[in-house]
Amino acid sequence: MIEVENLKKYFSSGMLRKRYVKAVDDVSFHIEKGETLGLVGESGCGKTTIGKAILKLIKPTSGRVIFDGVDLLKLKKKKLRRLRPRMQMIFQDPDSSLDPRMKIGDSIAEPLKLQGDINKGEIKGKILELVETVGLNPEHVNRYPYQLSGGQNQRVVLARILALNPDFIIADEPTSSLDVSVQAQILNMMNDLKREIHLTLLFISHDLEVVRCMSDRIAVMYQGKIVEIGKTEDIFDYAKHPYTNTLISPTSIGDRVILDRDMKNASDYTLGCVFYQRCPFAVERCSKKEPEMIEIGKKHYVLCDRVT
Amino acid sequence: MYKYRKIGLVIGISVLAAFVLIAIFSPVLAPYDPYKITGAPLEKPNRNHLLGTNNMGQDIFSRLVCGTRATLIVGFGGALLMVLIGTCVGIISGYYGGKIDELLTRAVDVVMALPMFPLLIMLAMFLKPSILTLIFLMGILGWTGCARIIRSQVLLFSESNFISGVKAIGASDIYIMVKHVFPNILPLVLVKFVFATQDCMLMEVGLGFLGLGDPFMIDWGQMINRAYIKGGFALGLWWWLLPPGVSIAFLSLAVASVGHSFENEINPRLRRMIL
Repeated sequence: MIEVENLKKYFSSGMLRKRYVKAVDDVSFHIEKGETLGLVGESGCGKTTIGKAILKLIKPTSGRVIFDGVDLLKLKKKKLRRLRPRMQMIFQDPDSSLDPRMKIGDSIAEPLKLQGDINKGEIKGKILELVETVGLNPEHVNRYPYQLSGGQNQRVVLARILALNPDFIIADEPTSSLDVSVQAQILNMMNDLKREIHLTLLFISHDLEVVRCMSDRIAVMYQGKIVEIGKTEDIFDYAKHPYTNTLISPTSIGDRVILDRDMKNASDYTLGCVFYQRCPFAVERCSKKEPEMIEIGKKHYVLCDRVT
Repeated sequence: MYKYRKIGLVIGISVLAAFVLIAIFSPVLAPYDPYKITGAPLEKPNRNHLLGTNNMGQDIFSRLVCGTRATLIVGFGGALLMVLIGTCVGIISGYYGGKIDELLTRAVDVVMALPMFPLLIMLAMFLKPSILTLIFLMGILGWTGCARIIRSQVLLFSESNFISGVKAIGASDIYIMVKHVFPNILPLVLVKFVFATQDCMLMEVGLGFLGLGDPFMIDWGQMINRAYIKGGFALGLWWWLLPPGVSIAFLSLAVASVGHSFENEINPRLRRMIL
């Protein structure tokens, strides 16, 4: 369904002496149709940037994103626009995901109108149908986003996206700004939709439990790189990368792994492993040579030289 | 504070509306033909001539009423053109960013560095003086401030999630700019428009005073100019000098008051209360 190959996004700063921040550095993965890939990592590790780069909402520095056999990054603007409705993104902050000066109903109707070929009566019916699907009240249609709660706005965003019947959705921490009970409702709804319309999903989150209940496979990110990727069970039960271990260990307090060494400026060094400075198992050669992805199980890959 | 601003808005709009009505109905309101000699020269205000007459015996009150038009037309017209250019440049610059933004920002810097009023005087001298010329000149010289402020606001907006969201549903750039960016900066545009109106009115009167206004229209600046040249100042003929000056002061104050109230309305902390 979707294949990401060697995706890179560097942000540069400075006019003469350019410095780069490698937000996404040489990331490759694929997601099959109907599958959910969870993407976890600490904040600032480039999760959102990956999402936006895949949809070309920001221009990647290099790499390829192949959606249904088409390389998105080589696509002409017009063709990209025609393809875009099939891939959607849910953003982290629902309150800023809607036009503050547009009524809820108009926001939901917008994608329908942009698709064309639909009359007013049909739009009205479709809006009510969508509003019901996402569990909103029909009277919300005439309100403005600031009159609704974060959870309700996230439902509006979802309704708006469902209006397009997308094949692929990137959900960027869709629940992190909501309180726990609303979180569960939204997640359940997404799970139902996944089953009903065979959504392919890239689920981005820093909340491991949420990712666990949503995903078929999980990719763990650190400093712009995917350090481990595998089936959900494998990641939780047979995690191999030291970083993954620190992420999942707090659940078993006894042998908790704590990162003690503070990180120095990550852009200061280019050689070696990204995790070198904080890795409890790092040896001399980790700082010299960049590790390579190795397969350690079925569909289970780790970016670490010390694993074998 | 809020209540006070609201009073300011009401007073400002009332005064402005009064001036607009006067301008529209000036032929009816003026008791005499402003060009005709209807009395003795330099009459003091009396029953026949409310504000007296000028050196040619023309009725000053009629001239004052008819002069409202020029000031209002140039004020609103010039401001409209300024804000139109400024908004377009600001939106395009802020939305696209990158090289386009760089280019447009440099252009703004260049135009901004030009001293507006002296340049306006020079160009108005060289070009055929008319109301349209003045509007055009003010528009192309005065859009920079507006463009700059709108750009910064749009820059903020185009990074926001909802713009990304609209892009993702396959909307074109022009659609996004017209349907989403513009409505969101509209309050700011309105405020800019009101203050630009004030500037343009004052400039119009200023140019009129320098004798660069439309020679075929009566305007307040021209009236003061005439009074000045023909010795109105020296002789202390207050009824010849004061009316146009007081009128432009009132009009300018009214517009400023409306502008300040609007500015208050778009204050982000108060926005939710009002919308």
